[in-house]
Amino acid sequence: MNARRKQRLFAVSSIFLLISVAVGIMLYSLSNNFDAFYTPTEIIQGKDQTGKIPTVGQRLRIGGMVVPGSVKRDQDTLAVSFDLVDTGPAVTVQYQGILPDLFREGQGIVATGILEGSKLIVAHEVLAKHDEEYMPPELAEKMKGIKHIPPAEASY
Amino acid sequence: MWKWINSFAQPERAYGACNSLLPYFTFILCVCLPVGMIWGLAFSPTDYQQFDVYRIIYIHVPTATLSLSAYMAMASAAFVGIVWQWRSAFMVMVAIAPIGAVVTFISLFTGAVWGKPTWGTYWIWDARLTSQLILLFLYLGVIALYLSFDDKQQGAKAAAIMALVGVINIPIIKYSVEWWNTLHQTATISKLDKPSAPMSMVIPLLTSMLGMAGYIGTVTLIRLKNELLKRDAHRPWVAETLQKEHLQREQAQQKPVIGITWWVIIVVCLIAGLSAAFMQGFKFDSMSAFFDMGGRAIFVWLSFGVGLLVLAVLFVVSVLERKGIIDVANRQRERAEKIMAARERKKAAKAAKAAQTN
Repeated sequence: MNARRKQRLFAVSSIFLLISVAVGIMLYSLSNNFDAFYTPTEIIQGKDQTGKIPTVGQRLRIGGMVVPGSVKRDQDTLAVSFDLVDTGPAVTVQYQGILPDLFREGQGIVATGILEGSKLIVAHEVLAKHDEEYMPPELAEKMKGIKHIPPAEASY
Repeated sequence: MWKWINSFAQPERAYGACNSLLPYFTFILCVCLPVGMIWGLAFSPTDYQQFDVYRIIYIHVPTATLSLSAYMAMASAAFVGIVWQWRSAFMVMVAIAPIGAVVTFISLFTGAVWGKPTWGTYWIWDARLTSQLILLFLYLGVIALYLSFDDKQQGAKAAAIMALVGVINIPIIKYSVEWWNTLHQTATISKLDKPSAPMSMVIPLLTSMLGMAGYIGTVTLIRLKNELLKRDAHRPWVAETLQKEHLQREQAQQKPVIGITWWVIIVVCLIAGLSAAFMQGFKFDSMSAFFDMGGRAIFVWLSFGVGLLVLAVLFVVSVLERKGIIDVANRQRERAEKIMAARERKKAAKAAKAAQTN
């Protein structure tokens, strides 16, 4: 094989490699999003379309809102437990680690973990989801009646 | 009209167009980027739930948005190059690709640094983040493909096809937050809807977006000029241009590309813009509170520090590259002149010899 052909082969195979890695990553991310994602209602009643109920011990991702008043912190460790809810019944999530700034009661949360009981998830990752709205604190207080405290001053 | 547009396919016309456009883009870069970022960092209100860490938006959103625009510009150039066989259009594509890669990298980096404190993770395989990572791969693929051919025209063609295929990724990135259930929120600013932020935040954000567009434009023009000189180093128009711009070795006084009048206008507008920002009032209690960013100093300053550093490095590299290219072009010209002189001497000697024998 002469040098020019070798070069072309290199070019073609590198495109092929790049595209296949790209598509692979994309499919991976999508499957992650579609299959293992549950809301609290779906965990108890099964998915809307398939009626699939997750089995105990399954790794899954759950998204919901933190129930106000349900956040319980251990005094000595970073362990925390809270309830997540959407439109139906609530499930409990246990987590040990640093929570994101935006974690608060009433906030949308995505947690990844293992289903340990029918209504209990032990999470190894807790992520906060927020919307696209940004506004000054004074305006938020006036419009939404929410008064947020900076993460540094949060009590929980 | 078509004839006029087509005339820019000629490298010397394209080079001239770069020179006449350069002051305008430099103006936008030098005025809007500093005004937008300083305004965003110090003079725009804090956010009600994220507090000061949200100020990363003033570098994250401009780089992320314009990484898509730059890709579309690059793909359009690739399209023109393939369909109309313009060499100079391929050179535009090659000029934009590294800039796009750098801007995409900054958007990913600042996004990761922002994600850690607010979401709780640097990275997640969510559709928006993943498709943006693929955009970086596409830019790198275009660069690598172009460089892997010895024949630059062949390389440019292959890279152009890759750039065109990659266009499919652009709507995927843009609508990923609506099509799939992503952790990334939807767009704060869109053309059709009212922005989901007050004007005191949107104005500095739009200003820094404009400034980022100015950066991309300026560096594209600098790199395109480099590319034109490099690829055409042996052609007579390059020698003529270098002579006209006083860039030949024996000419001491170099003519500035952007005149002094432009710099005066830039400084005046920069001061005006900064005063407009100052009038909004400093949003921190003290300078140390400003540097502390509500306890999130490391995330905010890391984003801006790394982002601006990478932009500066690309700018400096592109400017320095020009010196080497001009050297090569000058050497080519001197060599050509030497050969021509030797040929003349040989011819004269032959003529003299012929005259003697007669």
